[in-house]
Amino acid sequence: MNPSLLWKVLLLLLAVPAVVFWGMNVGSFEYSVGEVWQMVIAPEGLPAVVVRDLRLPRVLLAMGSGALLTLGGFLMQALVRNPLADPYIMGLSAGAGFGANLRLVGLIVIGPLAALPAYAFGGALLSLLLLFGLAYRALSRDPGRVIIAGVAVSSFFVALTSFLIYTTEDAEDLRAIIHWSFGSFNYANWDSVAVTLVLLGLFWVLSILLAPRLDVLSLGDRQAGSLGMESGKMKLILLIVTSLAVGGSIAYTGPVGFVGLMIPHFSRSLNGGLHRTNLIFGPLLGAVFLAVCDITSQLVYPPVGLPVGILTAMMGVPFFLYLLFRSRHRI
Amino acid sequence: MRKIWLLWVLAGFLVGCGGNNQQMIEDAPLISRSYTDDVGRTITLKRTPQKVVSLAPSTTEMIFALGAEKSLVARSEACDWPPEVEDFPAVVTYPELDLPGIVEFEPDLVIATDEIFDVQVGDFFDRYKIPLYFQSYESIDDVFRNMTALGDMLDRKKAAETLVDSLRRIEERIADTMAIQAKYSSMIIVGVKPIIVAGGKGYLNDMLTKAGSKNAFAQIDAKYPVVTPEAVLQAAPEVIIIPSNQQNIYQDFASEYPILHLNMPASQTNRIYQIEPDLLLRPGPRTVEGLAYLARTIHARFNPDEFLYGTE
Repeated sequence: MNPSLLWKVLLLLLAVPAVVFWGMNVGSFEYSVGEVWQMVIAPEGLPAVVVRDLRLPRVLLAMGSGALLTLGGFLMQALVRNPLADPYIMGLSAGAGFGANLRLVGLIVIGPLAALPAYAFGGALLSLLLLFGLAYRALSRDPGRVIIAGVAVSSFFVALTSFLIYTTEDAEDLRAIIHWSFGSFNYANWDSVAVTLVLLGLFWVLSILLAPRLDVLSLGDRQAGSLGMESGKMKLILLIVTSLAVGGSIAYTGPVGFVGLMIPHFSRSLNGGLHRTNLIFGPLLGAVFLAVCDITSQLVYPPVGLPVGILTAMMGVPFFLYLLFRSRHRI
Repeated sequence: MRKIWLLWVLAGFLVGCGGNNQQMIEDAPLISRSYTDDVGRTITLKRTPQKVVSLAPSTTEMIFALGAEKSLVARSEACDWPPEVEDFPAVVTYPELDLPGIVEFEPDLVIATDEIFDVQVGDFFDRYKIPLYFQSYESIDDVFRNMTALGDMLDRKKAAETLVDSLRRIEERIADTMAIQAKYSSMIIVGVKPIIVAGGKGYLNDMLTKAGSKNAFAQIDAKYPVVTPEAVLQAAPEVIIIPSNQQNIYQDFASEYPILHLNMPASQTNRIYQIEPDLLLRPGPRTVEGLAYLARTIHARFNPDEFLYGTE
């Protein structure tokens, strides 16, 4: 690891506990910083329950999701060789959302509600398969077409979810879908944190191991082939990994858009284009970014907090347009 | 021959009388009356409405309670009380209001509530020159006021006055009795995920206050706010009311939020109650009955029948 990257990573590693502690200080109850610290070192009574079982899982879930979405963004951009690719724009989030909502409204009930990430993964995988079915040839020749196909796939799954909303007669199910679709960490618990962090650990390590291959893949199929890589096989692996990462991240939180677009760009602008460097630094940055967004959402709209998906979309849409118009070449 | 001629004259006279009566009903009274509804829309009724469409169960219950059901031509699919309502044609209101379906009834008055429908729907009815009256409820008084206004519009003023007077007397009796009771902090759960509660703005807040309680979320200036689990812990409700007929609904809540179940005073003392949702969530003639049962639920020693049927 080069010294510059080391410093940046160290800085983020210091920011992680600082943001976690900040998150533990934000909520309906007004505890002083000293009181919160006391609850960390000697937890006792209701305040300890609030800090340990409500606030801590929330901030950790936000961090885990931020890191997973960033990973999803990097992998997706390598897969379609286009910097505008993002799990949200390309329809992965919409697919995962549709899968999760099928279970939420009870249309398909296999396994307990705890199996929600599996449904989200199924939806995400379905959307990616559809995307590549539509635009497989364009992957190597015209990555811009893949983006447009992604927007179409996203619209398709949004339409399917809208159909679910439209035909759901149970008011409780309806509220659950609508609220979930905003993207929020309001209902984080230790179960959702555990699943998210396990997925994160798994895919983070896997992504870093795949980093040199991602660099080769980014050169294009022909160059990758001449360097001895079977790009078709590699794309299939990326397809599954990306679906799992994104599906797992949004199963509990709902779709949180544009994190996978913004953070990889910031990371590349700071570290250059090598995947190994970015895949170490980027997810850390994504974790801190999304947790800060969630804390901000709670501070600007207390006591419930603005759904964090609204906040990230407010930042992400102008960012997307900036990238679109900055690039002088076709998408 | 002369007898036949006389019969024709007599028949013509009778038919003429019938026609005049029908005309009288349609035209009477020929005085325009204007009403401003709860969302600020003004409607003008040229005669007593004969073709009313009710888009809310609460409104339909009011129309029946006033004895004005003869003027009802259609009701929403959700209307299910009183049982006779099944005899009336239903208009589709969910997932979307069937506006052309309503126009087919050629109504001379449509009544809706802003609890269910967007006020913008009024633009459609304005285009067809169909009077649309919106009801809104922030207190039990609003229920009485709307019943009185409805009685006035449907030419059932006397019936409305009698009904409102009797309901108001019962309401006051309950409120007076409960005013001196211990004020338990209570939470009405309207939705489980996300957690939606009765806030400080809606008529449920008024119901809780008059039932001798303190709304745990009275400080939130909204009818049905979404709250976080932490906000629920902070509110520390001593009594939980769930207006639902669904079995085991609290078990669903407890499994979704085990931290709340373990730490709320209401769950620790097992003071969690389900109540018939229509009595609580429909602001209509049964609201006072709902208030009596709510008071009984919060203060167990009271018998709601004493309020509803007892003598002063």
